[in-house]
Amino acid sequence: MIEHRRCAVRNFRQAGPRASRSYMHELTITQNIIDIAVGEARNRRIRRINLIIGELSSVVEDSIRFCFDVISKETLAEGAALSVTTVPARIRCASCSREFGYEGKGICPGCGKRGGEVMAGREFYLESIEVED
Amino acid sequence: MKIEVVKNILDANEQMAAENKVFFEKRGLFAVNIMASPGAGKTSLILRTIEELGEPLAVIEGDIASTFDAEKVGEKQVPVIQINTGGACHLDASMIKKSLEKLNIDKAKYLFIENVGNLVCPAEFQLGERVRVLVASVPEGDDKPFKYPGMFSTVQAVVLNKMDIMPFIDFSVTRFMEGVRAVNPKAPVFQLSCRTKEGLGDWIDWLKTIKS
Repeated sequence: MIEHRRCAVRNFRQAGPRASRSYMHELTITQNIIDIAVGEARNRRIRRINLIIGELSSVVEDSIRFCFDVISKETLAEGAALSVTTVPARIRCASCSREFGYEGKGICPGCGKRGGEVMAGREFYLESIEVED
Repeated sequence: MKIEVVKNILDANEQMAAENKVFFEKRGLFAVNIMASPGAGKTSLILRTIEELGEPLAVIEGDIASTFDAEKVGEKQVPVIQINTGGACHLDASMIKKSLEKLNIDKAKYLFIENVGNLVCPAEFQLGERVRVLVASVPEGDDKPFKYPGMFSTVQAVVLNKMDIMPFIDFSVTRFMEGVRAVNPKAPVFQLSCRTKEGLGDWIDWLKTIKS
C-alpha cells in the first residue's frame, strides 16, 4: 500500500490535476466522486460527501483525500468534508455457512476451517451529499 | 440538506465495460483479463497459450511504457495491440474500447487482455471480460493471497506459475491455497510452469471448457 500511495503522488504531480482521466486510480475515482456530487448538488454548495468503502475494495482513503483537496478547487465541492464509512469484510464459511470477518486470515470461528465466499467488503459508492439550504 | 445519492463511483467505467461485453458477445469473442504483479509471467502465459490453445486469438498488451510484450506476441503472428497507460496503474474499459478500433479481431475466438502488472487497482476496473484470471508465481511467496485478498476474491481462476523452481525455494502450496480459499472458494488453481510447459494442459482444457 505504501508503494501504491507513492505512485499516486508521483503520477499526480507529473500529470497535473486534470491532465487525464485515466491516471492513477484514486485520481480517476476522486474525479468521479466530484462529478457525481456536483451533478446531484444542482448549483448548491456541497458541505459534506458521504462515501461507503468496503474493507476489501482496493481504494486508499488517504489518496482520495489528497486528490480531493486539489481537484475539488473551484467546484461546488471545494471545502466539503469527506466522510468515509468502512464496511468490514464478511465471509460466509464454505463448510458451516457461518458469516465472519476477514481479519487478515479468513478463519471461521465456528468450525475452524478457512475460507468461503465474500458477502460484504467490496462496496464502493457515494451514499449521500449534504448541501447548503 | 441531505441528498441521498447511492451511486456506484465506478459507474462510468462499468457502463462502458458492459458495452464492451455486449460487443464481445456479438462477435463470439471470449475475453480474458489477465492480472498479476510485475514479472509473475503474464506474457509467458499468453505466449504458451498461443502455442497450445489451437484457436485463433488476439491480444491486448497493457503496460505503463514500452512495447516489448507486444513485440514478443507479434512474433507469434497473432494480432496484437499495445496500450501504454503512461503512468496509470491499470487498464480501464475506455482504453479497451479504443484499442479495439485498431486491433484485427475478425478471426479471433479468444481475446487475451494483459493488464498492467499490479495486484491492487486492476481489481476495481471491469473491462468487459468474461473471466478474470490472476497469475501468481512461486518466487513471490505463498503469502500473496493474504496480502491482496481484494484481488484474489474477484477472479474466476488462479494460475500459479514457475512451479519448476519449487526445489530451490521455500513456498508452501498448502498455505497459498489457504489464502486463496479464504476469499475465493471456487476458482480453480492451475499449478504450472510456462518455462517447462508442465501443467499447462489443465489450464488450456479449462479455457476450452469455460468458453463452450
